Amino acid sequence: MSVASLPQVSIKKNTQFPMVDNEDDSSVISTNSSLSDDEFDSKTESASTSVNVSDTDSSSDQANTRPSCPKPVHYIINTLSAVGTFGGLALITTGGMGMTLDKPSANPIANGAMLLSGGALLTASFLGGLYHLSAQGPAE
Amino acid sequence: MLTCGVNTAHVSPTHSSHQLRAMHPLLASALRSSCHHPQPEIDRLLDQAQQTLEAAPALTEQFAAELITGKSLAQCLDISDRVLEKSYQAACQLVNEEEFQAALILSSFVLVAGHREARFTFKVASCLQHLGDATSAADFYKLSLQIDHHHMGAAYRLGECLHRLGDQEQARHLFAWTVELARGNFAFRKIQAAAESQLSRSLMWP
Repeated sequence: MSVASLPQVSIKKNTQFPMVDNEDDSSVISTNSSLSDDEFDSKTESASTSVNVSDTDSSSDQANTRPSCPKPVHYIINTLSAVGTFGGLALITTGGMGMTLDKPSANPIANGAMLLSGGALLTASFLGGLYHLSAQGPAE
Repeated sequence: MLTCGVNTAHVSPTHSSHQLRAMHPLLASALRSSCHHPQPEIDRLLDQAQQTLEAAPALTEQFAAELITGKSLAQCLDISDRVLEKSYQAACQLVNEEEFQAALILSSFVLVAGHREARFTFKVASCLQHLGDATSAADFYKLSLQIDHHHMGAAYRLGECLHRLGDQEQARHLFAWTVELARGNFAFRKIQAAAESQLSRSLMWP
């Protein structure tokens, strides 16, 4: 059979892959979430406090049924940003959030922040991380 | 009727010349915009939140001794839990109304003054994410997860922020963790589907 006798197959340039919604691709890199807060506000609390176990299960059994946080996730959530305008705020928050102001934190970034100024850091830690140390601010 | 009144009159203006003046720029911008709301109660809560946030650094220095013992700023200022809860609920409403600056003020107030709860940090993070600061939002989602490893919303949204910030590997971990948290509960099917969709998309990521 010659090549010329083979049926021609046309290939569409913009093939749509079924698993990827190309039209909605912008949402992936959008600042906004693809799920509203409503999806989480009511449900997340129940996810955190309840598990699907029968009434006969003991509370210790319930605790055991909750998945344990994987190591990579544990590492990620304990690594706060050290760059950018907000980096300093987050570092300070770590001190308060971790409630480890009187002892070294497992987070080296938090340790660095703690070394900056004990009193000022302590004060900042109570502000939820929304304020940070002023670069020019000498200790009074 | 709210009974709480934040008494900030005893804070000397000169006392604000301390180290903790630098505020998050988005929060500072929101405070400068003097947000108001047509609902009188929300408007009143916004006023109270703005006053407290502006005075917060001085107040925390003033009440440092109490704060160290574990009291919250709200307790020092006699702000009731009911007011904090109303402020949080108002923040949720404002987010739904896409009034993110006003929502940031209220959620920041609850976070600064109240006890640390994952839902408070989540709401602050959500406002920051919607206002375009993915880096800050990621930090607050992380803080939510530090408080509660099983906070599904924080896990999913952190995945989104990490993806936006270009950390695809970490984003995949967070979406996978979201799927795990949602597993076996029909109520979470939409969240699980969204996380699974993100994981599927991640196959196309660089």
